[in-house]
Amino acid sequence: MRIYIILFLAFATSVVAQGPNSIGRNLVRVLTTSQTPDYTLPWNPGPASEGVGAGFVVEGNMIMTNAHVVSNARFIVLTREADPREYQASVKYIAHDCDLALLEVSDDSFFNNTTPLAFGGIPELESTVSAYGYPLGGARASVTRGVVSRIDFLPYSHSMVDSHLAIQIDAAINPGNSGGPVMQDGEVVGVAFQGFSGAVAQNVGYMIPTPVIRRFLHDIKDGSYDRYVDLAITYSKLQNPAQRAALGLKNDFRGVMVNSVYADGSSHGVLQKGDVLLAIDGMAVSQDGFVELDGSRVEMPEVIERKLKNESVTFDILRAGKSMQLSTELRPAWQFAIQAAQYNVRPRFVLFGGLLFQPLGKEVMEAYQINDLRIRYYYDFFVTDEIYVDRPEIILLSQILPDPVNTYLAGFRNTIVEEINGIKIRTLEDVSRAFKLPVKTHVIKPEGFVRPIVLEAAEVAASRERILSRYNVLQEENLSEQWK
Amino acid sequence: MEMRFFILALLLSVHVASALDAEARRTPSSVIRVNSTCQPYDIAKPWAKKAPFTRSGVGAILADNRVLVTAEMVMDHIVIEFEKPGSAEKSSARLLAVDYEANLALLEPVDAPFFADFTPLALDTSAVVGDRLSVWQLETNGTLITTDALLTNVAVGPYPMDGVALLSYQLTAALQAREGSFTLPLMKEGQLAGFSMRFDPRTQNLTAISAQVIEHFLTQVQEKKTPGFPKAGVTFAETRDPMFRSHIGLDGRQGVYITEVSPGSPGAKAGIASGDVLLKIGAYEIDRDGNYSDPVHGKLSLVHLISGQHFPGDRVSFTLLRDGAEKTVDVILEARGPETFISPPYGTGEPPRFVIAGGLFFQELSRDFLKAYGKNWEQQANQRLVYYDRYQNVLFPEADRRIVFLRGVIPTEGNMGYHDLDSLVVTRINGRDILRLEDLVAALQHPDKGFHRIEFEDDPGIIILNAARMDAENEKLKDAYGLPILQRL
Repeated sequence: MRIYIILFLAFATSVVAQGPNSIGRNLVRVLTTSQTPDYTLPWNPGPASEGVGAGFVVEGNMIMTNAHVVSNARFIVLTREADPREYQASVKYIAHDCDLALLEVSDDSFFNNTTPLAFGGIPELESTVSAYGYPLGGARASVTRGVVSRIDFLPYSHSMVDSHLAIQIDAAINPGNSGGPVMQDGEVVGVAFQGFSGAVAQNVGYMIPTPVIRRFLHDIKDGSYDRYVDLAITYSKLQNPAQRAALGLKNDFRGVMVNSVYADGSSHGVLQKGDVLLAIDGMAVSQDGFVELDGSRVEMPEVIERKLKNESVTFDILRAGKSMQLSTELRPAWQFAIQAAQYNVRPRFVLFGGLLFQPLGKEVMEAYQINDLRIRYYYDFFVTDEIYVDRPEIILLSQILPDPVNTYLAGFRNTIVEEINGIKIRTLEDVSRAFKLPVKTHVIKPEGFVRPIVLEAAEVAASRERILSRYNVLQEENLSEQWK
Repeated sequence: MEMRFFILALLLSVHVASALDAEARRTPSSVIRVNSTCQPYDIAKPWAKKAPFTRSGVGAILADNRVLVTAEMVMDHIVIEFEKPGSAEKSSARLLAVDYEANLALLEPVDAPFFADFTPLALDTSAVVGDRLSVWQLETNGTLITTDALLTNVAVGPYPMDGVALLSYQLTAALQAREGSFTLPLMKEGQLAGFSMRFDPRTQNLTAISAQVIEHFLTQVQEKKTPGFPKAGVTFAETRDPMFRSHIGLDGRQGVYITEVSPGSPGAKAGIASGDVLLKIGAYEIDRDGNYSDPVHGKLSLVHLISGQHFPGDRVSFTLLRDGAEKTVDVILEARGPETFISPPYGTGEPPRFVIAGGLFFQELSRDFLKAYGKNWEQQANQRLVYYDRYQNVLFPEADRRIVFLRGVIPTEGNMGYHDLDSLVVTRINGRDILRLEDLVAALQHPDKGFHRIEFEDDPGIIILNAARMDAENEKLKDAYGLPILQRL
């Protein structure tokens, strides 16, 4: 089990790092005050915390840093080593799927005596790079040096569900390095973003390489970040000779087989289960799922990684022995979001008669430490079993605030809601709507072999103020993810 | 000649007993040490058995030379022996009957006269909460040790086999571990009153098989009834909530709400439906928690009324409330052995079924397979398999089937490219539905143009292999990996 840790330093200590060099003017210390919502008290804004990261000046009077340095930020303060002042900054663009963000500063004088850093390419293996940042806190910049150890497709731990190209370096990278530039020959070749947590590994740090950075900068050119696009398929290698022969494939070591095409995804209605994918955008796909891109052998999704929303991709396929060429327009895959970490969003919920209804997601699973098998199934197999087609959201009765109105309902905690007042529950909006129906008794049908939950409307109305004041509930429902 | 010798031996033993009078009083004459050597199959490598081990417990001697022990003592046994306390004289034992649900087994000695100098015990079913029972243990030297145990609760509770709930006793006792076994008889005034199953030294809580369950088991053996504890196949919810009571029109009445009726179960055959309220079973009123008023024990779960007081085939009347009207149906109770489940909830020592073909290793889903993943099997084992096991009744209403899955791939040249596949549920092979391992074996007899096409529930969806090559590799596989057999059905 590999665990990647993000390098955001939560508690600033006062280790003074030995100072600078030529890039010192452009290196920025980012001090963020953030508020992380508590999903067990979703009406509250959540506890505040402070953390330190690094950033650097880029083209267009902006500062690049990691998304995780400024996630859930309420207040951001920037300092530069050559400048005694503190500057307030705000997030201009943030990409949680590739852990990058751009900040802007209202006071233009921040940029006096700075020069935007330029981006380089992918550094050679074994070549030397220098990482800048504020490891373990401190007001002065620190620099560490190391070599490029490996270039690989890796999970990005900020969102928990994305994998992109990342470069492993052996320079010491520690909490506080996050968002700092990694330089080679005066150019930025990466942004330090995560380390490796484990008893065995040492001197393993990771940086976001420039193809990922350039894609981010390209994506935001239209004024908004559209996220990564996805083919929304699964495929398998075709390495067994008998399987290749049965499918009518030549002995050229080419082709992977499409296993599933997700409903509502980019490839839906274009690719089919069982298709053999021979080439993508004209580039041959090897039988183990690699393509030759810019002179190096990369996994097939890397081709899609570099594309933006609404761009298209072409496939050369073999379907039931017939060759054909197809193409499709790419879009992000929303279905995966259930398992992704959420940032800068308000928890959505409905509270009714002391019963708290919340959509299933990573934050809810973690906040309540849910272990129930049925809920785990919906969470784990939401995409694989295409549960989202009928139910874009799975609504959980996550908590019961004890009150005379619900005194017999304690056992219904952690049940999935199937129906309320005759309405099939597909989203949280359905819950809100169903409870507004003019009925004398509200009937909630949980999933599984349990009895229905019955709440008399008059009793619920009588309990309303009591529950709100006793439990200090600030709001009875929130259907929007936006902070007001 | 032989007769004379036998009489002589008998006289001799009497003589010895009277000579050692003081010791005889402390050496029990109605319990015996039981040692069993067990060797379970290794469900992860079903062609092999695990290392054998020995269990020890104390058996209660009943009439007709029969000895009662827990079923745990005889599970996966190779040999069972009796050992007389004190003299350590041994005799081989034979298994007469076993009921894994009740966790009870009956043994008898291979040579009948072995128990000649013992006094059989009678069963005493009169124990009630507050009684002081006595737990009988044996010292290594055969001396009897008795420990007082206070009967604190009589209720329907879990038995060792998954999904089994029967009447059990909870007792408090300061019991010491002796020979690592808590298979011990519970006595009341010198007669058998229960059998201990589990003991928690920290809380000093002893869980025991109730005399009622022992009686049920012995009656079933004696009268040659269909084995097992019968069920109606319905699940229910309590009806305490006044808002819920008034919603279903139950104001002022007792009874429980039926939440599920298993398809094909006795309850379903009798026409019970979810949403019905169960008011009475036979003459007993059911309260809002699902209890009836037992004449001896007071409030007891209706589960005991069905399972503990009846035998399979018994006809029991259920009084229901449906759409405001009372309705009485007759339910003909049936027992349900683990083999009738899609994923059996427990095994009873039978050899695990498997098929290895061309290095592909197939098994059928069972709770025992999942439990091989350790204490946290619900998290550790493949999540689809865990989900299928738990929700088998809902997911597979056709009932008469098993879940066949690819357990793993033993590498051969012919299955290259598939070596890292594991825990994949098989749906079809060569176009045929796979509902059990027999279907798989049959489907592999019908390759499609020389290929086997194996389809799975999850990715990679389908794999294709060369049929002739798979067959040819089977023998090589036996040699290369030392597999004694390639399938067991």
